[in-house]
Amino acid sequence: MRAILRFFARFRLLLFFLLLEGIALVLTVQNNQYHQAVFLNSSNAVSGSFYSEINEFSEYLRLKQVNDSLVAYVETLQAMLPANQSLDTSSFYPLLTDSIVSQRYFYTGAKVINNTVDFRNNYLTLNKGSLNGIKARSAVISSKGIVGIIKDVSPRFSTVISLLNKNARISARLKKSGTAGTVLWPGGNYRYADLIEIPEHVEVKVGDTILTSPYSSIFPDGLFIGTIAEIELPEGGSMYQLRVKLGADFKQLSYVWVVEDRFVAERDSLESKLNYE
Amino acid sequence: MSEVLKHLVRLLLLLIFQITVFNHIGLHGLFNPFIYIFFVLMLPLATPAGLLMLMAFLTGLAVDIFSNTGGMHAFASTLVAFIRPFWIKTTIPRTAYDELQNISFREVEPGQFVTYAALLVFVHNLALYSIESLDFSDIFVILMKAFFSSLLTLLLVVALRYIEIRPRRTP
Repeated sequence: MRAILRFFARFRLLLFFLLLEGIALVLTVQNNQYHQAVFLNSSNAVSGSFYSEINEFSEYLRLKQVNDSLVAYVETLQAMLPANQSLDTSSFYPLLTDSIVSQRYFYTGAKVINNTVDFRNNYLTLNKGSLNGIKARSAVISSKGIVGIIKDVSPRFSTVISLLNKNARISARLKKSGTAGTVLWPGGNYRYADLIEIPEHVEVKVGDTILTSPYSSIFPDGLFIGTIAEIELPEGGSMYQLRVKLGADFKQLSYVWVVEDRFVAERDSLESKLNYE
Repeated sequence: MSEVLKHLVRLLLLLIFQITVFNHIGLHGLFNPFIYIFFVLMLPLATPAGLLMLMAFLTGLAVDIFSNTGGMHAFASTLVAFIRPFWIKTTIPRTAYDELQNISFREVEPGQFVTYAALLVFVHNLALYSIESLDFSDIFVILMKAFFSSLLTLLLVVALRYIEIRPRRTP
């Protein structure tokens, strides 16, 4: 202890000197860090615009896939055109009747300008609104599968309750048997949803197609939702717990269609007369 | 007391001139007179080493605060204050030094003062530019800047010394 004190006494000037220089150095370096921070901030602005450029560029690169899917979609639509059907297959495409005023569903193309998949309740924003004839409660579909339901509409934009949302319960059916169930998203992986309320006596296989059901007052009948990926029958349960691989890749959405049902008011007013007890 | 006041006034004037005028000279980036070091050079010979370093540190810090340079000037000034006592013993003859214990630099020979000031000014500038770049790969640039700035500063230091001394000698 004494030796330490003597050491300090002997070198107190040197130690004081080192202390002062240490403080000065820390101040200098801190000042440099400040400059560094300023530099980093400005470079963030640079890198920010750089990233937005990159985004634009990658969107450009994705145009090929978007084009391909659009072409495929146009092909299926073309196949449905009455001119391409033999005369007595009007039942194949019952929605389009001979008069334009009786067309039930109207399609409006729109671009997804905002989209999330990571939350429990996800929403999308589209670049079309009431000026383009978009109405709330319309269905939103993509070329690969259904996407969601229009929630709110402003003149130029509209928001969509994504299928990846607790509030989205889509009436669905198995393509093979026509058995109706409900598709809902339990959260987690955005590629998978659940199909519930399918009774155990129905034959289901992995890979079976799930379509929208005619019970839905929002979606047209027979739109692709996804395919069965997992089948589970809970112990002692009478209903399947089916995992559905969704057709639409919600992370890659760029172009969608808003489907307006012109007959929905008529159907609703008629159904509202029913007195469920 | 009047002696302390004189040093304080000198410090204040030097700081004002340093911050308002000399910080903005920068001829070709080579001639940057850091004249405030004159205060450290002119502190009484008998100033205790610890007090000397503390005052030099605070002086440098004041310049740093107003030139937004962190602790560069504090670092260089403290270094000058640290080596000043040793350098005094070397440049100013022992006999004179013993006699001068309690008096100021007024009595120091001009030649001795220039030698004394030259090294300290150069050390000050060298330390400043070294810590400024913190990169000894451009040691040549550092040496150039330190040399030319020291030259200018030394010129000003010597001039200031004679401006200060004259009124006392004439009466």
